[in-house]
Amino acid sequence: MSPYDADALFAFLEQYNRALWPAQILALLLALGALALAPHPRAGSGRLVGGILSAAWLSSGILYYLLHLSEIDFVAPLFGLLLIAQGLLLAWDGAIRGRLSFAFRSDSSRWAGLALAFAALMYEPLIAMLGGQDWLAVRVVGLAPAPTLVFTLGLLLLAERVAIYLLVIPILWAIGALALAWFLGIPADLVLPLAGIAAGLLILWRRTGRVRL
Amino acid sequence: MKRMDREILSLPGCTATGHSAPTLGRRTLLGSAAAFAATAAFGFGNAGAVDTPRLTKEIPSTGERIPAIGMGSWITFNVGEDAALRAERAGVLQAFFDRGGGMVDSSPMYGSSEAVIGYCLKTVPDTQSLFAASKVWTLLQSSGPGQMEESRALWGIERFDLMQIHNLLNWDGHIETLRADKAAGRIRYIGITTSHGRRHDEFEEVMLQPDLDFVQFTYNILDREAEDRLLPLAAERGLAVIANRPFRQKALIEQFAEHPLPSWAGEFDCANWAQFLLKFVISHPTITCAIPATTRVDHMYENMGALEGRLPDAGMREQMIRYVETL
Repeated sequence: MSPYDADALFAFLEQYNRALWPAQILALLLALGALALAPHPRAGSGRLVGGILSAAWLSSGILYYLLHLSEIDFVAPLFGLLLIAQGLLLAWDGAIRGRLSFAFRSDSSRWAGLALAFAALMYEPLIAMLGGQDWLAVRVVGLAPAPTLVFTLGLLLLAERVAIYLLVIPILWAIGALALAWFLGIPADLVLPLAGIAAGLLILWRRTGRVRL
Repeated sequence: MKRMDREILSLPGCTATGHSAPTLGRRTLLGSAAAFAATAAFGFGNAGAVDTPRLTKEIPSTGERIPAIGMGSWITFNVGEDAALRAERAGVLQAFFDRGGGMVDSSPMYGSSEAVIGYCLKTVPDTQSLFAASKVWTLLQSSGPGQMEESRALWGIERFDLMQIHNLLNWDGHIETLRADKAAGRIRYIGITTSHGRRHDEFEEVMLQPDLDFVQFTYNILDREAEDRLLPLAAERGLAVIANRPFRQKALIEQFAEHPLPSWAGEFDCANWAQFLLKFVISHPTITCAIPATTRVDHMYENMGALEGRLPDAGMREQMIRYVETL
């Protein structure tokens, strides 16, 4: 159940994007930077990508949920705290402890990861181009949870080792997002959470023998 | 008959239960889609106010009468700062008052609904019939006064007519606050709410509290659990009853819309499913007011049409239940 309908959600997204502009440019540049670094790792790039992903979750949690969506959704602060927790986990595991190590090998799961990360950047603009929603309501990686989720799990598919605790909040959030999209009657909003769940399951499947707890 | 259909029946001058026979004025002339379209093109403002008697029900504790159809605002008025959506909601509220509406029900739990209601009340020219009803919804008794004051400021009104404890949350704390507020004239009535058939056992205990004026719970043609205990208890205690979810948040409309209204619906001056469902609710003798919610002016007109004409009697109510249970 949601305290708002689809019209109110898209109106909120337009106002949210207007309020944050031009932060979307910075968010996209950081995301592109992470997307460029992950398959072509350098010394310290794992920490840098971890830091970018951490910032994406922190900003989505704080800006999207705590400071803005809470105006129309009393449950938003709870989701904000979850995203902030995920951001802190990524900061700890990736940026501080340097345990996210990226490498690109030509296997199907890594190609899937690249495709998902790219899709996270392009999905909503594509929907807008096809007339499915207003450009002003486009959700951006690093400033909204759904594309941030898919982008993160896409990049984690390129990582050598992924701690299981980095998957818990994203998958829980994705399940909640599916329920919300269903309740609001927005089929297009089912896609990213489903992709996120698929990516999470793929990481879990691939973890045998290579993932630490 | 689809929900969008307008009244095309000319209503006989028969006496409705509890109020005088209606004359529908301009609405009875809307005998065709073309006539309706012409009126719509002319502007809802002109098709709005109708000078016909409206069904009112008595608040037992004072004898005050209020229109039997109010307006809920869960989800429907939670549109944030969007200017276009706010303007649309102002149109809905205008239609509500034009057609004789009184009670507007909201809550701090409903996001920006109270702020949007406040915006609409400033925009709509004539809100004299407003019966302002909100809720206190906070875990701590000490937070209650501040929250209620914030609600009052958002609505832009001097005081609430009715303040309700939302979903029984810390009811024994907040009822103390509300008693003091009522004694000081800061509110006129005290109420308590639940919904979806939840916690009726506990709700029944709370209904025994002194100083309660209103109770609010779910009651509609399929969700009739309240008939077992809550409605008889409300009658016994002299409590006004607000029925929420009269359409199960439009699920009933969607479920029945593809089926025809029964031919005997005209016996209680019913032209569409919204009126069928609402007249069922408000024809219960203990129900004071139903609070459907909508985002559309045309649906508001349909809802408010339930204030006109006759109501089904007990035998007809049984027939209505039997009919919908076959659908």
